Amino acid sequence: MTNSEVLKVRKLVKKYGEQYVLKGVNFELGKGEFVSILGPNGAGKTTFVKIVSGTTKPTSGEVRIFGKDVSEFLEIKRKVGVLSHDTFFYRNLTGLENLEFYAKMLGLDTYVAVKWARIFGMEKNLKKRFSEFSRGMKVRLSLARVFMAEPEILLLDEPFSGLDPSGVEKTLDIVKSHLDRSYILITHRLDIAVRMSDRILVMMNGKFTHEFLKDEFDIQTLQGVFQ
Amino acid sequence: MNFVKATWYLFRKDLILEFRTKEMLNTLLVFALLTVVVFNFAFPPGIIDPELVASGIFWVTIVFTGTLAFNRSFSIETEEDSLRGLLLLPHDPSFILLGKVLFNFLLISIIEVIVYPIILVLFKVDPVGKFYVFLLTVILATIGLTFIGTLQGAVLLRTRAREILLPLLFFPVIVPIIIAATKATEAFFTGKIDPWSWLKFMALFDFIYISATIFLFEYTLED
Repeated sequence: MTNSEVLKVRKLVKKYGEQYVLKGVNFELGKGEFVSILGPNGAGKTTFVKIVSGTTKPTSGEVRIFGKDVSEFLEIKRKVGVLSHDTFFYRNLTGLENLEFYAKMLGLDTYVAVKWARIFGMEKNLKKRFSEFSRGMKVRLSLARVFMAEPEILLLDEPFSGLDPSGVEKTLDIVKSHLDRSYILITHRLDIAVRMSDRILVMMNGKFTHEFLKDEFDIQTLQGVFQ
Repeated sequence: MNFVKATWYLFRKDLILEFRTKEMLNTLLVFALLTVVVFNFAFPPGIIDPELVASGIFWVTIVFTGTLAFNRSFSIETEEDSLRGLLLLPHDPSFILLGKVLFNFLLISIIEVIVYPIILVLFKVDPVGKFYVFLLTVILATIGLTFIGTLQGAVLLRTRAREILLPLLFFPVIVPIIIAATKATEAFFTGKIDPWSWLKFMALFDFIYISATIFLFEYTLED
């Protein structure tokens, strides 16, 4: 692992019963790098993210974050933030109670949660129940949850689904203002992947089948891969 | 930030959610009271020795009511996939088990406190034993029930027919505790049998259940 690598995945295999979801995946993520992973449904993208974030165990292979195995060093999970379509929040708690819950779990004070809610323009909605939030508000509150832990690697798993175009742009603006971190974006939006990424990988049937570096991709090229 | 604090914050979160919605407590209470009333009609006092029947009915009511609680305790973690949010935290995942066990223990204890006097009144039971024996019986039995019930709630989390499957898995496993709890309660009600052998039996099974639950819980979280 080089100094600039924050994440290294080697020969990652995941089987459910007799079915292989990931078939010996290798992957590296550099410091400050933005990598998008594209691929059809069922390709194994979300399973890959779940294993990298330590919520699912691989059948074999290894995941090292800053050189440490995520299954052995629980504290390394602090360095990884996950923004998914599901928010991980509770519908009958207020926005503040939800953020406070995760803040306390991370050993942070409530003011840290409020600070990040303010950064993402959510301070006026914190007393509302989460069930009353629009999809855009839910995503912004999720961003506050993710960023308050000060993660160095962000895994964005289809975060734009259900957002209207202005919601997508607002979310992208937030991400752009925090590009000092490393990102893995899972998306079906080729346009967003092209705009944001330093590198794009295509996953099909549990393997990375294509890799495009910064000057090698545009929407037409990527569309060609999926045709 | 340590394991105990994480367990406490999870327990507190469930408590806040329950006080806000009262979904669980209201449902469990109505169900428990209906069960007791139905049994009261099935075994009217005077026909059968009330002390013998009342101890069994008390524990059957608690076990039936418990299955509802155990089903619900983990299903609230699926609504926005918050279970995954908990697993992303830098703590040993067994804090989730312990937080849920504590919450279920509290819920079942509340039901027990309410059901107990109602059973005494409806079945006209006047306990002759020492109250601390009954208290010990209730604590030991509730520990066993909540550990196994919470584990099985987690096991069945991703199954579609969990409401049907939980009683099928739960009742056979919990039989030893229920027999011992019924006998120890009967001892408290009648004073005719020695409760201590049953209490020791329950303590042994609690040890087995707690050990098995802690060992197996990690596997229940696998996809």
